[in-house]
Amino acid sequence: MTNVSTSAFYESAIFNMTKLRESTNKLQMQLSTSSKLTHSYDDPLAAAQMRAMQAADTLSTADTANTNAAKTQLTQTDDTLSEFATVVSQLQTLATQAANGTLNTSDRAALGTQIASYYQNLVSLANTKDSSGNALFGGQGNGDAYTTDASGNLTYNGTASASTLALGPGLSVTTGVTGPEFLNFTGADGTAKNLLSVVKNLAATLKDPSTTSAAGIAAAQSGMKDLNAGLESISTSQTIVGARVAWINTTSTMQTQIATQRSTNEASTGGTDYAATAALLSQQMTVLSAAQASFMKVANLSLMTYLN
Amino acid sequence: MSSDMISIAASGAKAARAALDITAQNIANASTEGYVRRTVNLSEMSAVDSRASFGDVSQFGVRVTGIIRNADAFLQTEVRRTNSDVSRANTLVSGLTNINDAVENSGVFSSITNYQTALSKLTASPTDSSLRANVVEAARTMAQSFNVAHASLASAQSGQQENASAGVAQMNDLAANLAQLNLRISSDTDPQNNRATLLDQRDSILQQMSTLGDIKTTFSDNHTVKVTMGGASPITLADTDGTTNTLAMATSASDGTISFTLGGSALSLSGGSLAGQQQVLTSAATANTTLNGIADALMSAVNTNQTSGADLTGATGTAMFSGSGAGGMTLALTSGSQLATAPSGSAAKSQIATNLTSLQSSLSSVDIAGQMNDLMFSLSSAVAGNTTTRDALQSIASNAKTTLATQAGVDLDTETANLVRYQQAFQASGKVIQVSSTLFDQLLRL
Repeated sequence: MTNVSTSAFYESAIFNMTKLRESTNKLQMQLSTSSKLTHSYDDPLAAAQMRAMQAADTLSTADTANTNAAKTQLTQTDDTLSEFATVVSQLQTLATQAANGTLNTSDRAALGTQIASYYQNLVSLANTKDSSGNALFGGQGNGDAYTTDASGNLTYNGTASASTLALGPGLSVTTGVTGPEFLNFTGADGTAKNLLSVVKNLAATLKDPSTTSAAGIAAAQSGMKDLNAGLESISTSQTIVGARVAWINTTSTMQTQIATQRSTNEASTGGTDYAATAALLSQQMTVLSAAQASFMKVANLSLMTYLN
Repeated sequence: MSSDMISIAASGAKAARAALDITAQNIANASTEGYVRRTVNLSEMSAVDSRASFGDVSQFGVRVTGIIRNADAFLQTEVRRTNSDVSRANTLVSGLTNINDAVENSGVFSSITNYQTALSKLTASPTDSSLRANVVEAARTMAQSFNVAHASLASAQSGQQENASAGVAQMNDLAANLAQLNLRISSDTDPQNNRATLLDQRDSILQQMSTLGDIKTTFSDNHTVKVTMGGASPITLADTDGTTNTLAMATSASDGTISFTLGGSALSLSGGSLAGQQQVLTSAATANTTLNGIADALMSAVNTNQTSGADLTGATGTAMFSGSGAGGMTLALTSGSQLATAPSGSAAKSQIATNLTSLQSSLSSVDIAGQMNDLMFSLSSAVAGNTTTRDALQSIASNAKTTLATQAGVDLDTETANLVRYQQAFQASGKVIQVSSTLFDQLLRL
């Protein structure tokens, strides 16, 4: 005869019901936290993958911030280049006027003064600061991009190229153009010229009372050609900047797509499958309540009840 | 004749009383841990070679010849063996969980990621003071997270060491008690006596011992027990003659692991909470070494980079972290301007950030975050793997326990039936006395 020990009955009932309670508890946790992983040891591999993906999420916030910074920088560059273009086209008008043979020397000197004041505008545009107070066209140099020495000559202080900013794994963009990149160009006569010195020289020549009419007209005409070449150089740079802004837009679309992909992965790796979990929970709860009900029934089944 | 009848009935009543007492004892101890169901062994008293004449009754009733303790030694050994395994696995799982939580909850991994993110943000504008401050704060949080991880690990370790040392003390107490008990059992020769209680105590002590360590038992004919520990060359813990050997624990000062000796000889344990604590501490020491290695690799990468670059004033950078190991990691920089983002020899406020980008690439080539993720993965998979083992061992132990309880435990229904049966037996014996008294009276009235 097998002896059914009372304490063994209670012990195994408690053991089984505790197990059921634990697993319903776990399912409930999964539903309420919408995460399959309460602890990383629930599924170590999934937890490690989740950590890597969450790290990528955090790192991508820097990419987003850098993308925005690059975009701001390039947009400002583009706007400033437009300003340059406007000034240069006004200078072209003035140069065209100065090339007019009917003007006398003093009229040309007056135009020269006007050009000289535009020159000052160009110099301050060339020294524009970006949002963080650095020279917009100075590359990675610090301080002003151009400084004027005692004799009034301009010197470029910046670096040869603008800084390159990483926008995520394998993606990067050059966040601006340096002064020499668009202010230096090859003049009509085939020599290397600088827009600022062209304007400065033109103004000086026209203002100089000793300049003859013929010399003034010749200077204005060659100035017009150089200004044309300079304007072309500016619009080339603007095209480059525009292309970079377009690249940034492409990059942010890619970043968004990657982030979406990652969150889908996160949901499938560590997220709760609501339908399956809820179904499993109701199944477990049915089993648990059956176990509890049958336990109460069997526990009441004792011969002692019939003793009187 | 009738006096015989009375004494026979009296012996029956006495036997029924004894059986009722045992039943009551069984019911009272139905849920006592370690209690083994008793039954009364009765035997008939009769004389075969009595000199009485033919036809005389030569039977003298019944007597209690002993109290039987219904324990199966094999099942008890099984329960102790599986209990050792479960106890070791439980201790190991909970200890490993503590280690895992210590590293995970310290937030080291996310602080490393945040630091790298801050560096990445700084590349957008290397001279920006708020971005620089952001990097310094991220580095501070990272250093503190490493400190917290180290401190939590250390406290998990010292907790295990204290538990192990308490376990050793308890084991020695139990061994002393068992030795005493052995002497009492060997001197107790009266079968009517409370030997069953002594044996219950003996088994309960053995059960407690098995929770602490994997013990081997050798029972003598007089029910005394010799307890040995250790695998290949067992060492005696408590002997049948009342002598004991002392279990001692030594803690390594360098890595906090523990080792045991029994009676002066080295002892290797494979079961029980003491073995579990030993394994936990070994894992903790490994985790600590790895964590220190990661912290040192990180500090060396950052400090080397700092000293090979120029800070915001153009001066050569100074080390960012001082100290060594996860616990000693301290932020040495006080301001964001001390970050050496520019290459060595740069002018003040240089926007050239090649030193910063080389730090980024050296951090990702050393793969600090990846190393940390690997450490956390190895810790959590150790917990997961041992939990599976623990669950299996628990089912085995639970089965063994239930089997023993089925064989040795009290069943209230059986006891209730016995109660009724022995009550009736007692009443019947009473009736016999009454009948014999009536018969005697009748004889007197003749």
